[in-house]
Amino acid sequence: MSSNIMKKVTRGLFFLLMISIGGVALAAYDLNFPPPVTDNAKIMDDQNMFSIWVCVVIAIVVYGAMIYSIIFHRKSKGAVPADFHESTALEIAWTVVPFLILIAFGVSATKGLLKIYDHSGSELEVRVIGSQFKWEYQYLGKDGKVAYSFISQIKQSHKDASAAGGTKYKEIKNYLLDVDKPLRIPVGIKVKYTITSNPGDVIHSWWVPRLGIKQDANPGYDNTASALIPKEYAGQSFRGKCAELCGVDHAYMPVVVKAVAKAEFDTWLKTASTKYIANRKALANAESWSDDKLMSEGKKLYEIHCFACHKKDGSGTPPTFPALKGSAMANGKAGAHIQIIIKGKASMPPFAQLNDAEIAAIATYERKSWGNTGSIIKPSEVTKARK
Amino acid sequence: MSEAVAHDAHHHDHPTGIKRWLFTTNHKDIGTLYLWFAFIMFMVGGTFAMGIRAELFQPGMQIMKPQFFNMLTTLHGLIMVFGAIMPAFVGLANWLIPMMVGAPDMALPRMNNWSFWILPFAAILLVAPMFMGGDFSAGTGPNFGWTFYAPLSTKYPYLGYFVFAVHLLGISSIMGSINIIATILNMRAPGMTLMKMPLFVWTWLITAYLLLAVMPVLAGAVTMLLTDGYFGTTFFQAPGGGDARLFQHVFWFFGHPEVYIMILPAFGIVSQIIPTFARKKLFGYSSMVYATASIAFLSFIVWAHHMFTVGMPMAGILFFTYATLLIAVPTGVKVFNWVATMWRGAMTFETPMLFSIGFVVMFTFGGFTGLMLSISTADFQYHDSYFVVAHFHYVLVPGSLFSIFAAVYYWLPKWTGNMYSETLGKWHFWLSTIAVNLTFFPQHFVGLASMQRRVGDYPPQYAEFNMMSSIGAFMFGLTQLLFLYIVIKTIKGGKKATDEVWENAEGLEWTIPSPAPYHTFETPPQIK
Repeated sequence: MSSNIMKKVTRGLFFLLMISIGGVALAAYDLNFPPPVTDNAKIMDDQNMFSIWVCVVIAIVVYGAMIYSIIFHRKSKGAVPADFHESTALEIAWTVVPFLILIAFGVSATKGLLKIYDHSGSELEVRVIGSQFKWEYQYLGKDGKVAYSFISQIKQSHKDASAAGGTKYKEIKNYLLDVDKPLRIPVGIKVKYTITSNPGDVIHSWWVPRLGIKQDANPGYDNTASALIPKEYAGQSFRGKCAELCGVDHAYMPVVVKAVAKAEFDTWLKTASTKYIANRKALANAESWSDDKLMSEGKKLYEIHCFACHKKDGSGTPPTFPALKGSAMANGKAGAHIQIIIKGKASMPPFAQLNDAEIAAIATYERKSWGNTGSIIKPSEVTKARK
Repeated sequence: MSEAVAHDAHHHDHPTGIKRWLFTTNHKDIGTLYLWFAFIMFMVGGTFAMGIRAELFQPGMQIMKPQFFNMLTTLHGLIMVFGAIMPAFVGLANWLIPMMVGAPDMALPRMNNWSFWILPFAAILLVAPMFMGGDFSAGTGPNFGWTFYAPLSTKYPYLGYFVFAVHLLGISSIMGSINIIATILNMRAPGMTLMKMPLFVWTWLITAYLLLAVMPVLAGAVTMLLTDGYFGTTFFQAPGGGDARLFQHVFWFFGHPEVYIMILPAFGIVSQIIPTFARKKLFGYSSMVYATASIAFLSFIVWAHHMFTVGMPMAGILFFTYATLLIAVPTGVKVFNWVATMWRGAMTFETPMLFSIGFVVMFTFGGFTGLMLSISTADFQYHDSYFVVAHFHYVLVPGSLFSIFAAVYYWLPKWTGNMYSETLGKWHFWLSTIAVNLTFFPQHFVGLASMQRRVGDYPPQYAEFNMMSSIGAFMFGLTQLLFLYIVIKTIKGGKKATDEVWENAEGLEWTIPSPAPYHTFETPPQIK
C-alpha cells in the first residue's frame, strides 16, 4: 500500500518536473546558440543542431527499449526471465551501426573545420591581446605596423554594481556585457584576428559567440581566427566574454564588437590612427616633460592599466593586490618600484610591454598621489632599469 | 567458520578502539575507512558546491568576493574528484575484490594501510591555505580552477601546499593500484580464470593500470609547477621561452584517463547489479571486458579534445576529433549490453537497481552531450561554457556517484548483516534523481546560450535557469543527509540479511555469512 502511494507521489513529482521544463522552454528564454552572424558561426550552429537530432534519434531507440522492458519485463507482472546472454550478431551490429553514424559526424566536422581554418582573403588584421583584466586591440596597417591601438575594459559602473550585490544589476543595461570602448570592425570584408596575451600574463580566451570565434589568448604565442560580418549587420553590436579562468576578475572581461560600414570605418580609423601616431611620437620627448605633464599622463595610463586591481584611490584589493596608497614601494626607492612594474610580482602580471615613458608616467603618478611622497621618475631611469 | 575465527585470533593481535583503525591491515576495515573518508569529503565538497550555488542563485556578487568564489569552484572540483569519488571506488575495491576473487585479504596489507592514511594529510594540505593570509573572505585557498592551468597557478602564493597535496594523493593512488593489481593477478581462488572474474574486478584491474600510467604524469606536471613557482624554471612561462600550452597537454594526458578512472569501476558496479535484479545473466560478458579495455586504450589518445580552442594545427584537431568519436563505440556497446540484460528479464526495482537504471539513463545522457562535445567545430562554442559543466556533472553525479550509492545499497547488507530500509532508499533515489536533473539540466541551456563557466556573476538573461539550478542543488545536498541516516540506521540494526541477501545473486561474496566475518576465504574456495 505505502509503496503504491510512493509510486504515485514520485510519478507526480516527475510529471511536475517535466511540465516545468516544458513551460520554461515555451517561455522563449535563451535555450540554444545565439543566432549566427558569420559563416563560421553558422557552421557551428548547424553542427550543433545536427548532433542534437542524431542524439535524439539514438535516445529514442535506447531509452525506448529500456522503458519497454521496464514496463513489460517486470517480475510483478509475472515475467519469466529468458536465458539468452550473448549474441555475436547483435554485438557486431551495435558496433558497426554507431561506427557508421560516427563517420557522418567525422565528415561534417572535417568539412566545417576546413572552412573555419581558412583565413585567406583577409583584408584587415586585428591583434587581440588579453591581460588581467582587459583587452587591448591593435589595428595593423598595410605595412604590418600598429596603426591604432586601444584598451577596452568593462564599464566601471558594472563592476561596482556587481560588488554591491542586491538588485543593483537590474538597473544596468547589458549588465556585465558592456565596455568603455568597443572594437569597431568593418562589415563586408574578412577580418583576421591574431589572438594572444602579454608574455608574463595568464591565459585568456576571446569568445564572441555570434561571430563564431573562441580562441585562447596564450601568453607570448599567437592564435588566429577570422570572421566576415555581412553588410546587413552594420550598426549592430556583438557581445562576448573571456572564456578561460584568468583570475579574480574573470567575470569582468567582456568583449563588444561593433559592426560599422566600411566607409565609416575607414574614415574613423584614419583619424584615430593619425592621433595615435602623433601621441606615440610625443612619448619620445617625454624626458623633457614637466612634472605636471608626467602626472597627468600617468593618471590617464593608471586609469587604463592599473586601476582595475589597485583602484582609482590606490586602495587596492588586498591581499591579492595591495594598496599603493601609503605603500612602502610607492614611497621608497625608485628602482624597486620600476622593477615591479616591469616584471610583475606574485599575482600581478609584468607590464614590460609598456614603453619607458608610459612606465615612468605611471610610476610617477603612483608616487605622487594619495599622499604618497616618492620621487619623480623620468623615462631614462626606466630605460636604465630595463638593462 | 567459527574454527577459522578462533584460529585467527590465536595468531593476530586484534586491537580495538582507535588503534584498530590506525594500525589495521584488514581489507574490510581499510575499505570502511576509505568509504567514510570519501563520505566526509563528499560533504565538504558538497558544502563548497552549496556555496557556489548560493552565490549563483541570482546575478550580482551577493554573498562573497569573486576570488572566494574561484576558490570554491576549485576546491569543490578537487575534493570531489580526489577526495570523494576516487577514494569511494578504492574503498569498494578494498571491501569487494578479495571477497569476489576468493582471497583472504589484499596482497599487500601494510601498504594498504599506508595508502589510506596518506589521504587525510593530503586533504588537510589542500585546504590549509584557506585559513592563511588572515582574511578568510579573500579566498586564499587554491583559486585557479581544478585543472590548475599554468601560469595562473604558478602565480598562486601558496602553490607549495597544493603541489605537495597532489603528490601525496598520487602516492596514495599508485600504492592503491599496485595493491589491487597484485591482488587480482596473484590471489584469485583456484579455478577463477581471468574471464570468470566478476566485471567489477575486471573494471578495477583496468582502472588500476590507468592509475599507474597517469598518476606519475600528474606528479610530473605539478613538479614542473613547483619548480616554475619557486626555482626559476620556465616550463610554462613565455618570458623564459616556455609555453603555457605544454601544461595543458601534460595535464590532460593525465586528465582524460582520470575521467575513465572515475567511471570504469562504475561500469563494473552496474554490471554486477543489473543482472541480479533482472534475474538474467549479464548480456555479452566478454564484449563488456573488451569494451572496457578499448575505452582504457582510447583514453590515452584523446586528451587534446579538452583543448580544441587552445591553439592547435588543423591536423591535430582532426586527429583528436576522430579519436574521441571512436570512444562512443565501446561505450555504446556497454549501454546496449545493459539494455539487453534487462530485456526479457524479470525485473524488480530495489534501491540498488533503481540507482543502476538511473545510472544507465543519465550516464547515457551525459554520453550524448559528450558526443556533441567531441565534434570540434561545435565545441568551439561549447568549450568552457556551462554546457561542459552540465556534461561532466551528468557523467559524474548520476554517473559515478549514483553507481557508488547503488553499490552501497547492494552490498551494505553483506557488510553490516542488516537490511537497509527499502522505503527510505527509494525516497533517497527519487529525491536525488529529481534534484540532480533540476540542478544540471538547465545548465545545458545557459551553456548553449553562452554563459561561461567559473564566474560568480552573470548577466540577468541566465537568471531563471541559474535559480532553478541552485534550488535543485540545495535539494540534492539535503537529500544526502537522508543517505547518511539510512546507512547509520542500517549499521545499528534492522531486518537481518540472509547470506545470499538477493535472490540468486551471483558471486563469491554471497556465499559467506552476513555480516561478512572479519576474515574470509582463509581457505580458498574452489571455482568450477
